[in-house]
Amino acid sequence: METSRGPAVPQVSDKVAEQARTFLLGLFMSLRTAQIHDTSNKAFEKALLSVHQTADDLFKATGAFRVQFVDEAVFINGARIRLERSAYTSIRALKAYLEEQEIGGISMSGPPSYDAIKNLVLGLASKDHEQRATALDYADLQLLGIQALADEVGQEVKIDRRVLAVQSYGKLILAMREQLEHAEGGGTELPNNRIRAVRVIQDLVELASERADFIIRLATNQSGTAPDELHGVNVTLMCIALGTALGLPRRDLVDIGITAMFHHVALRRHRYDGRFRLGRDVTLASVGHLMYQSGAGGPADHRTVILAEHRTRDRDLTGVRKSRPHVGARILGLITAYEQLVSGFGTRNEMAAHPLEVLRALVDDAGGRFDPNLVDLLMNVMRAYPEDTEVVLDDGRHATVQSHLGSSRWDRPVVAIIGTQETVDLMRKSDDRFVGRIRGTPRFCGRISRRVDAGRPSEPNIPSPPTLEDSATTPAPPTPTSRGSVDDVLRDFLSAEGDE
Amino acid sequence: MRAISRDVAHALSAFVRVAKARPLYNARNKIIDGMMKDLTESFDGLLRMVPEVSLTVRPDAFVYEEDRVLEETDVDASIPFLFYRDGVRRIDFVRGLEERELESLLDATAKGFSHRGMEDDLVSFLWHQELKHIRYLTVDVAVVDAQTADLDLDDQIQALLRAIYGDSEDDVGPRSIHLDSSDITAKRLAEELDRIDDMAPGFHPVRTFMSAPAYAEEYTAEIEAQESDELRAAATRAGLEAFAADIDSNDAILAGIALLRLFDAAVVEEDLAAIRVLIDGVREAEPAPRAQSWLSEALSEARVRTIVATARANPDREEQVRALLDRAGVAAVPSLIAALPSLPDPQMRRRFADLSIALGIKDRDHVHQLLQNDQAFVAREALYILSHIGHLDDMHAVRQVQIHPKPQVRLALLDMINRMPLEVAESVAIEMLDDREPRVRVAASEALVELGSSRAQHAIANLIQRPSFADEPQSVKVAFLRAYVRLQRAGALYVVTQMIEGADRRLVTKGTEDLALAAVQSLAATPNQQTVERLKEACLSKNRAVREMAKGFLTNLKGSRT
Repeated sequence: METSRGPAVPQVSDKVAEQARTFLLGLFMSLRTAQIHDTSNKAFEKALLSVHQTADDLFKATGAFRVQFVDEAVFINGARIRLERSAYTSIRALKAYLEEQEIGGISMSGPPSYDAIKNLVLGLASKDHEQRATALDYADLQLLGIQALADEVGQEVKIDRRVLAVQSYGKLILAMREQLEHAEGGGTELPNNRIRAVRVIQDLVELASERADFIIRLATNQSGTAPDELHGVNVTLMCIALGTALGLPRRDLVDIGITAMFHHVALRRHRYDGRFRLGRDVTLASVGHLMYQSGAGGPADHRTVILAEHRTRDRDLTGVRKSRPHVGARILGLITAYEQLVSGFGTRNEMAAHPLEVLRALVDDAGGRFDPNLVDLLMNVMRAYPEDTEVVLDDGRHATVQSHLGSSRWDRPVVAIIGTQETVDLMRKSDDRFVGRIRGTPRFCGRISRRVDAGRPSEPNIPSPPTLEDSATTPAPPTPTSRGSVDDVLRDFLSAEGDE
Repeated sequence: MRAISRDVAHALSAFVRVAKARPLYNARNKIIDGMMKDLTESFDGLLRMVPEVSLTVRPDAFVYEEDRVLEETDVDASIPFLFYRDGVRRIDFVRGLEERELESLLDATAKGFSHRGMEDDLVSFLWHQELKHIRYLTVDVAVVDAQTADLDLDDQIQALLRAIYGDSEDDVGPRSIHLDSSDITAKRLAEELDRIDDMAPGFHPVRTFMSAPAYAEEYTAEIEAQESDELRAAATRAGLEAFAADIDSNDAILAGIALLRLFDAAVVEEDLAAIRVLIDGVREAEPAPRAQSWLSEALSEARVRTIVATARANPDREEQVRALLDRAGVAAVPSLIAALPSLPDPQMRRRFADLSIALGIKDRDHVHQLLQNDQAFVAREALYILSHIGHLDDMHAVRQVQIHPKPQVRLALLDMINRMPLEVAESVAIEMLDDREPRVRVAASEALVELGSSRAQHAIANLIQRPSFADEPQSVKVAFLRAYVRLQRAGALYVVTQMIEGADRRLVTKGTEDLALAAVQSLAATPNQQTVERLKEACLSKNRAVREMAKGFLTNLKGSRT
């Protein structure tokens, strides 16, 4: 399990957080009361009793507490507490008042007596430094200096990549939703984007180079929000992952990511028979939105070309290479098709196919729609090798994936070593270590295929999905349980007419 | 303020100066060069004294230690506010700072001010830069914004994540997401990422890309080989396709707006070929109203003036510019007419005026506006256009010229009298006999001779019989009498002779003598048997000046005959 690379993050319970908020609000109210009323006034006494009670509660809950303002945030014992809108204004005013007196927080290391709290309030309310010093002369009470987030900049910033990945994924969905809703509204004004999608995508690009698996796993999510939103964000993540694997420049990865997010942004007004269909009209309408929001200049041109060409075939139906679409467009075209097939989004019957089946179909597709290298890369990035795929093992031998039955991992199937009669179950362990692993496909590794029948059949050769009977014989099969005729779905999708 | 803070303040004020001046000048402008030099020297000097300058970013100020070293409170133009708004909370300048890095920061500042939609903001622009001596700390602006927004973005994100991964079991409950890792729920949710089987059975993707695929270089080379011109051309084609597509008109309009930005970029870069591609592409687009609307917008006065300025600055490109506007068609005409005053070369101006005439002028108002131009050459050009499109029959327009402050313009109107319908021409010339400028009155009388109509005859005859005629300058008297003789022929001789004889009297006034001299000149200007006879008679005048002038004319006439 991946662990945080940063220091342990202080945590407090909800109860403590609430007590801290109440204490600060009470302190603020008592300070205001002290400024308005005489100390003998009952209102002041009542306010003091209240703040003493909350300070006492907080101390009992924590054993000792330290409340610190840092920029716009409030920390209790190092843990940030969230301020509700109702409390935000008052606590912000308290912060401003304290900062005027060069105080950034309060530390209480012993039980707060009534007198201590009274003197705290009177001391803070006093403008006289000496009077304040006298009033606050309690061993267990300490006033803290002003801190800012910036004070910590010298330290290495530690970010848990998993947290960042999840947060970025959530933000990307919201950004996607903003764009889809804006396009659906049909306005010609710029949307008031609350999420800065460019920055979210930059974060994802950073993540992809460090922990690609987070990105790829998040891209498999198929729940939690609307299908078109999921399709958009999952395509975005996978495009970034594939581009990163190719070593494309970061700027290009951002452009590919943004384009992926926009590739279907106008589709909500393009329903046919009650379902979405990602046709050329959606692409062209989305081009308008993407161009409009990207301004003028290099990145805008780049994104526009990627989007416009992503449904263009790489080769014609006879296999002859055409004027190649942009690299980003080829990535986006492939990932869009892959994601549609595994999610069923926008396909006939909206039937989801299994990733291994989809990969097999993409490899076998002779329609010239996909760049074979990129299909190969997708398999290797996902480490999901369909049956009949030639692979290179870490010992250098070439093998053919024979079966996934009995395996719990798609990267550890049973393989048949080429040129021998030997089969190896890559799930098998010896001395608690796997006996072998797949390094990649020959194409990925820069090796020449050793299969006798090198070269795929020209006609799509879509494998039959494993049957329930097959899977019943193994303990934990990873193989798909398909609904209906997946073959038909794949054939229908991949043979979609129209050379765009 | 301490001395070091004053130095920081000086360096920052230099930064602000450059940041605000750069959008106004060309990057290579000497003023900018001077400002950049001051900026780099300020920071060099500063960083010689201290190894690092760390600024805290507040909404209204940059703070160095405790001193507010740059204060700008106008949020629309404030650099501290821009940095704060885009999430920067601290910025450090470190010894070794290079001019290139300062330029990147200036570019980022400019980006921040102009940021829209999916363009880079200040921080996302800086992300692309390699800055070794500038460090910055940012916070998540979406979360910061959410603190005051009506809808709580944090809660939306949390709700979404809970919907995806289910509720967290901790007793703290859902909390906000911050990059300071203080959030517990997000961490819990994140840990789900490691539960591979729950996410997708059998799925075990590559953790990091340790080795590139064998074919990776082919792709990176392909990216590197991309020419920006080719990308721009392809993007333009895509935009044009979207603009012309049979899709929701609002989506197409967005493409049109984007194309307009490309058009503007091409105009600024004086890329006439790119402008041509856009114009051609849109002209061919259907539906036609959408295309026409775009062309009207693209061919606005400001844009066309800039295009025409290309020809002014580079006369070699004039033909290209004219061909481009010719291609744009009639939609370009209003702006083309409006751009004429910006062309100082009369020949070039006339060629562009001819182009507008050739393209077709549907709305004369644009030309009429030029008629009111204070610059005589502009109004004359407008008259030229009106005369060539056969629209000098518009009395409203003509009257505008008649009251034009510049006599050259009024004279130009009379030059074109032959292009007006007779009735209009007569009215114009007759009215201009009363023009305040003698030259114009002279020209008006000559114009009436050209017209030769009976109305012209009556007008001149009435004029010279007015008592005020005697007060006219001599040139006007001569011109009017000459016109009178030419128009009335024999019928004028009696009146003219009377005027000459008026000088015979004793104690003749200067006015009477001048009138007689003018009459002699009018006769000499129309030499025929009858006028020569009258000139001979004038040679016998008792007035010496009249006599000598008449003799002089007769001598000249004889000389010209021999």
